[in-house]
Amino acid sequence: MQLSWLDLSIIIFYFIFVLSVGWYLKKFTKTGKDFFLAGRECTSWVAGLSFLAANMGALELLGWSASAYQYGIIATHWYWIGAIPAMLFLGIFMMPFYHVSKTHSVPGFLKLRYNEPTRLLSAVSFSVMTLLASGISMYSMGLVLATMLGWDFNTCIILSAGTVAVYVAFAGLKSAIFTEIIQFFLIWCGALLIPIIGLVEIGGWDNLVAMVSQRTAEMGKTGEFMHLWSSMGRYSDNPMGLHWLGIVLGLGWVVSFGYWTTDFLVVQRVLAAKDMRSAKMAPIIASFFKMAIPFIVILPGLIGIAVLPELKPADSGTFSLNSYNAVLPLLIKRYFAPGLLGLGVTALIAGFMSGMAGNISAFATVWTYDIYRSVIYKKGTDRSYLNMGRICTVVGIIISIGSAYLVMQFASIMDYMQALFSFFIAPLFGTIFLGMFWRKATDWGGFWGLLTGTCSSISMFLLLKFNLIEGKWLAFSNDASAMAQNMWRAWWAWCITIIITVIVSKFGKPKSDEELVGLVYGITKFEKESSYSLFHRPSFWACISLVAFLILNIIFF
Amino acid sequence: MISQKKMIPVWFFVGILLTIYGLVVFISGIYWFVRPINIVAGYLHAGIWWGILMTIFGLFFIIKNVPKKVE
Repeated sequence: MQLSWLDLSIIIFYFIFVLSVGWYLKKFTKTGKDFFLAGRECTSWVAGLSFLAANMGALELLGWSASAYQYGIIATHWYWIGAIPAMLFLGIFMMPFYHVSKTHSVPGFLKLRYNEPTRLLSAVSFSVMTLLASGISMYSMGLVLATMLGWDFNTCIILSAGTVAVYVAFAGLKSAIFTEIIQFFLIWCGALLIPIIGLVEIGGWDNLVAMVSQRTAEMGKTGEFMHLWSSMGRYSDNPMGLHWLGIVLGLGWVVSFGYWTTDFLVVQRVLAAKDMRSAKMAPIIASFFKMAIPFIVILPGLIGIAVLPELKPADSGTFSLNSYNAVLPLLIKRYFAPGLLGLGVTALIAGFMSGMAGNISAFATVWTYDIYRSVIYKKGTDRSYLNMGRICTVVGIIISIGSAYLVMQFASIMDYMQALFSFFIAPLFGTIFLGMFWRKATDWGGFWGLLTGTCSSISMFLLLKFNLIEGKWLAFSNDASAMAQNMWRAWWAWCITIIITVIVSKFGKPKSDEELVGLVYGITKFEKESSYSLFHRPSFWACISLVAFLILNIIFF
Repeated sequence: MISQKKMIPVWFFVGILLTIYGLVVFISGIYWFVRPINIVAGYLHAGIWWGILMTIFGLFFIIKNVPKKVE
């Protein structure tokens, strides 16, 4: 793909713009609270859009449009049942605890609810995973830009990582949130035009459905490509090899609730909300936009099936312009003239940088508050922790670059990344869930539940990997795909965490009610929503979002 | 009386970027209207109307969030 001087100018202007925003925000960042929590003064819209943008990296856009090309509309489950109920649950039931406890991080909440070892276990695993995820994202970005635009791989990585390091080091979460929102709008402006032009070219939705059926038959693909639920009665009836029960329990409950309610990468944004109502509204506002994302991600994948039927699967750790992964860039090239093309490519770069900034700002907070301050240097001043935040932002980026080159040597790491991340997400959700909703969970019950759940998840993965157990032991069928097995593994790891926490708690002494105020449901009293007018009540908008979610699922059933 | 600067809201920055990019996309759209280029569905001249929409959107954000000095 050849870029004109106009397209390049658009990209260069973007880099200058985000650096300038970071520089501007630096003078408003004077305390640790400013740097790590954006001053806790974000409105619900700012926190909500940033919450969503941190998850909306380019890898996500490219990956899910490729999945839609490969598996059809079923990939939408990751945006709807795999996100919306969890986001609403976070807003209505969990944000009040995060907000009232005044915690600065998710591991910080574990310290308040359980004990120091539980916090440390969670903080260390989160730091390792975040830096590895950031490296993988960086590697993918270098690969995509190098292949698509013919740029040098090293230059792509160093330029974008350097830019992120500079603007996050300037103002921490504050600049991460500002740039994420700017990137959010850029992504929509760059990507929304693709399905609009695509549908005009194809002749509307009905023609798209007919063409997808025809093309998938020509490609020799089996299974239902244009329905969400109707083909999920058996693993073999849909191209993803999934079963509805696995989707509901694994994705809809454990994986999505684990990610959206306990992954500090996203939760950090809502912790920055200025008051209780904003904290509750933020994920609810985000849920409406999350529901709309399939129109700029999944729909282009389906349009790709119709107009670019020649794409092939890519080898692990590679990116080629005739692979599924290239469907979105190829559509940009197909429909966009110079000028618009620059906007489309800038949207992709913005997406990569948004994900990177999210990872790094979350890492800086967890490292500084939950590891450095709690274990290494307890008597520091606010100024010294602020400086540490800036230093570890830069160090975190350097480690991420290192892990990007590590991935380059061992491309199969990418295959295991989803699994690696899920080792920690499902058990963490179990621990926090019991911590918030069961007052009898004890300090050590939480710790051992989290540790056992994590170890059991890793063990199940290894047993399956080395064929020591069969897939049906976890997923009730040998037809279950690796993705379906991942979901069932998450479900079992969550169950084990819950069971162990309950058993260990039975032998320990729970904290007193006074110690649990602000941390546990039933003990804590929150302000009533009835003091707001109907249109200002979070629960009202959560109901509207839930109804929209149900309607969409029925339409595409 | 001391005047101090308040932090400019993020929406103002969003407006600036959308307006500049909208104008660039619009002008390039006009250029490709005069000198047609070979792309699929090029007859839609997406650059022109998409650029106008982005500019309007951007200007809306700017006007609603112009920084004011706090006395």
